Amino acid sequence: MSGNQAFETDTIAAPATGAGESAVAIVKLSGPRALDIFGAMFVPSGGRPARLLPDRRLTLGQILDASGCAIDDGLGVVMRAPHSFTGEDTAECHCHGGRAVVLSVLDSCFTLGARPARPGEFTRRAFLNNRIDLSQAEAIADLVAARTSLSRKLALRQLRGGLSERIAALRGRLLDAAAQIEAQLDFPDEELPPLARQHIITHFHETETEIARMLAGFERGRHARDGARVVIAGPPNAGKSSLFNALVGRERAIVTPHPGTTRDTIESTIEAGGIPVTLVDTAGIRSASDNIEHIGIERAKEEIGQADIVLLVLDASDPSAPAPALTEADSHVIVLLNKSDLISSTAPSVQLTPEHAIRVSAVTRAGLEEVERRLAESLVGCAGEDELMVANARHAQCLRGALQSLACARSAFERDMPEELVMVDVRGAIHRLGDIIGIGLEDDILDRIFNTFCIGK
Amino acid sequence: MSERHDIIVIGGGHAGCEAAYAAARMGARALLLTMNLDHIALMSCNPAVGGLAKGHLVREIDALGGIMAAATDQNGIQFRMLNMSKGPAVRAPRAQCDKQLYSRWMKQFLENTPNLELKQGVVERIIFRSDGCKLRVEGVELQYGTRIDCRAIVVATGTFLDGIIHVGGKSYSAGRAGESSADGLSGSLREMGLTTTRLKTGTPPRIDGRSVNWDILEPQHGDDPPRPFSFLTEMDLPGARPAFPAQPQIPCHITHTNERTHAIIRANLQRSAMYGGHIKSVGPRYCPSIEDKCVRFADKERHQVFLEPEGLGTNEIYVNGVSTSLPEDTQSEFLRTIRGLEQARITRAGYAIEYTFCPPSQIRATMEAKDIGGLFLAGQINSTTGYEEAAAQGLIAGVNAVQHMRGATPFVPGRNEAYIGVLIDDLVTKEHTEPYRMFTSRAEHRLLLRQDNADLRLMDHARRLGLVDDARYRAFERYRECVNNEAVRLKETRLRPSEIPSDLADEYGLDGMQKGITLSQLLARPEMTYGDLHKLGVADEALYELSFSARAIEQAELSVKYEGYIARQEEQVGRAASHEARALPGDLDYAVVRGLRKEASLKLAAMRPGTLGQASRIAGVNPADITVLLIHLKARGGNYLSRISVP
Repeated sequence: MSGNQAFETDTIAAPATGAGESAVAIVKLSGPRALDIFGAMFVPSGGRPARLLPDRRLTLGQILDASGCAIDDGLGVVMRAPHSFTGEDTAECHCHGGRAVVLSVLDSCFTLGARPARPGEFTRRAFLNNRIDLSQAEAIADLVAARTSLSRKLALRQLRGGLSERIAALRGRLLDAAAQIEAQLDFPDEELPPLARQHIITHFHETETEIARMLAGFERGRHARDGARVVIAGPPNAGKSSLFNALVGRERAIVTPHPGTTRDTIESTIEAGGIPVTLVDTAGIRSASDNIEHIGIERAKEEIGQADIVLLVLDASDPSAPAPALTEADSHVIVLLNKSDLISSTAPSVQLTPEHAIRVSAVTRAGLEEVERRLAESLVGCAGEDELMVANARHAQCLRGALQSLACARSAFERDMPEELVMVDVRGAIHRLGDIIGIGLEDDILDRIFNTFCIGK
Repeated sequence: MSERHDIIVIGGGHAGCEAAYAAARMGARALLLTMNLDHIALMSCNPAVGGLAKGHLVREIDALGGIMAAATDQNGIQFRMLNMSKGPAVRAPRAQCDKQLYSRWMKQFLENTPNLELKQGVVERIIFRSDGCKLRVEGVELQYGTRIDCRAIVVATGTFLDGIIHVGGKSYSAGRAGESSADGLSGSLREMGLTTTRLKTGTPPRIDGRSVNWDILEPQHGDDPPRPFSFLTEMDLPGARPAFPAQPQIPCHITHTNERTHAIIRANLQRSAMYGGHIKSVGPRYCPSIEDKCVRFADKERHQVFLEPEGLGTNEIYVNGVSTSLPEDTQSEFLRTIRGLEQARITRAGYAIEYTFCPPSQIRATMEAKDIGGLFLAGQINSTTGYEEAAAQGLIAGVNAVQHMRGATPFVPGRNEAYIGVLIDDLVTKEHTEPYRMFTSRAEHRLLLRQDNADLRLMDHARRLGLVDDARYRAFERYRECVNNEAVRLKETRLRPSEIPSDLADEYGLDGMQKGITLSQLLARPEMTYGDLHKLGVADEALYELSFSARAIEQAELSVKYEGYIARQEEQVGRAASHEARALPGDLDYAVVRGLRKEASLKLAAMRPGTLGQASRIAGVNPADITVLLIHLKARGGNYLSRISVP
């Protein structure tokens, strides 16, 4: 017997909450023996046996180890098949969040016959039991991995089927166009209305725009999922490290009044507008006098090249500071005028204040909120959540394929290529969209033809 | 001692003829049993062969050594290549035929076929024995008690099984207007465990051509010159090139229904057998009755009507487009509202017919019943409609009946090889709630499956199976060689502007090109034809001297023009086709496959697909179910997922 077969009959257990310390932790059981095991390790306070608890109602009780000794007081809940996430019998113990407690509860599950769940196994069971479709399964994987609040929101939206609906709608409209074209090919003797080529071209174009918008959202959403790299850069002694510390909220970087103190790059993770941001402090860029500082400057340049956003820090109080020469290509640069507490609000600061520069002070923390707001805006864009629907690399890949096929189809149509050639790409696009939500082509086009046109002799 | 044959074919329609002929060609002793020897290959419905996708099927039947194309060439009275304004993959030949001539020609052709006997008789019962858990056919028993033994049977009974004709509120038992139905056989099929159910189809009235006002109607002429269906008709076979066209060519005419027609039909809807509730079976959506058209597309002001001659030697006209089950007086009334038909006199009333079929989930792709050794089903009994669809199945059933008898590998063309492959695969993997008709949009490999290259796709199979003779195959090989050589030459030959007169270089936009351009690159330009190469002096002039030059040039041109798109199409299709040849164990219990949705599990259990590819095309089975199946089979172990060569 192969090892793969085991998942069909095994009962699995795993903590459903993260590995860190927390107030409450949840240990979850799923599989044919979930209720038995749960019954042996949870005693409801009402006296009713755990096996007879009503579905989906949290009940207070005592959690026992395999030998019957109490581990913890907690809550228990059962969800019977098929009305659970995995579609199997499922039970949960909500215990206190200490690491030792969670390990004891898990140990109890394993001793009583469960085995540790493999990564993603709950989701796979849900998928196999048809509780969720492919895109939903992927959303859950994202949800589990989601690090921040915005990422969680994206994952949740997809989980509720938002993406599936949008894709199904796009696909449906392409099927309509396909039916119009195919009807002309298969029924040349029928008196069909002439093919509205221009209309279809416009329609393809609109669909392309919509897919492109979803993909652009994915690019922005990439930051939301994977986090962004924000590099603090600027001339020496502009207060980059002070600002870094102020943004991080604790003393990570060594701050001295001497230019060139930061010789290597330092990183820390913060959250800006719900997005995980890796903040990087760099050495000030100048003609370095010593070799170590020189290396630091080289690193800084490298970092700047890889940054999603650069926070260019200038010393507002230094009238000799050179004005940055920013171009269109530097749209990912946010200019911060630091040490703004040292100048009066009316006095001219840097010779040439770049537009949109933010006045900040690492000392008084003035302007820091504005920096976070601007960061979030640059990373997420002003996009509504609607545009952030695509958050999964496979979906993006399918969308890119569909976009490419549609562009080919439209261009072939515009050049008056024969319809059956145009259809190769139209079908390609329909297939790619179907791949996202896991459906094939079957007889969809023919069905639409017969519903739309009076065909047949 | 009873009479004995290798193969018995029940039914002398389009499926039966091809089945019997193929079996005989392969050297089996075949017997064709029909209820009426004067009705061989009768066209029960419209007097035409071909059309989109159907024409493709006929070309494939021809490439596999079948008869339908040659019969059409000999008896066609109007030939048209449809969709000439569109690309080659969706062009298709269509021909009006003389019904009587077609039938008589076919009868004579079969009578003269070695190894084949024709016999009139009604099969009452199929004789079988139980062979462990499987049944095996042994022969048939005729109406008067005669027993005939055989090793395999092809059932090709069309609409004759328990046929009931409906006209208005009246109905009577019949296989076709004026002919009795076959009522014993379906019980015999059920006795062997086959499930049967009912479908319906319909046919329009025929009218007397002398009662039509032809002068005011728009004629529709055939192509001039016509192009034949059969590759044989075009090929330069020694001493055998038949005259073409063999019959005088005559036009069809076109007219239209109007609001008055529709008003009469709507007012009498309840008198229609279909709308009056006499028929419960489902008819085809693509072949709606005129009642259906008026109800479902009520806002359409007129519907097209084609007046098609039933033949040269008769005045009867087939009124294509007004299939109906209204009472005869209403048929006459609405016909007379149609322009040109004001005085029309009905010679035969239109009718709807209900008949028994066997849902084809019960057969394999070889056309053999899954649990009955030696029993093959072909044609309308498998839920299809159309002469061409029937003939294609008949041919495959005939071939595989012989292969079965010989213990040889069955022949099932793939979906990427032939429309016949698409047809059979759709039959065995889909659920059929209406009669199945072929459309080009059903073929995902459409750009490959062209009517112009059917012989290139299939002739080698025909040769291997013994369906074509030496002379024909040699002629084909000569042709294929020319096409292939020219394709290579076009790719390898480079044209430099210096090699051609400057005015031509200018005309074709070549003068700026230092390195020149290959002939295939040049030909790939949308506006270029092979004729342009000829003009530039770089065509293969020898090609023009061949008897099949037009076809060879066409192929060479297409090989270049379609290349990129075919590659793209195959890439698109290929993604889904990775499971195509993975065998599924026949004893797989889908009910215990964990995680398989109930719907999918029921569908799979009912259809019992032979491969994972077939499973993936079953309606109600989605890609996630296929993943679940894969996981299950992997867990189950063994070599179930090994690649197999035969579906």
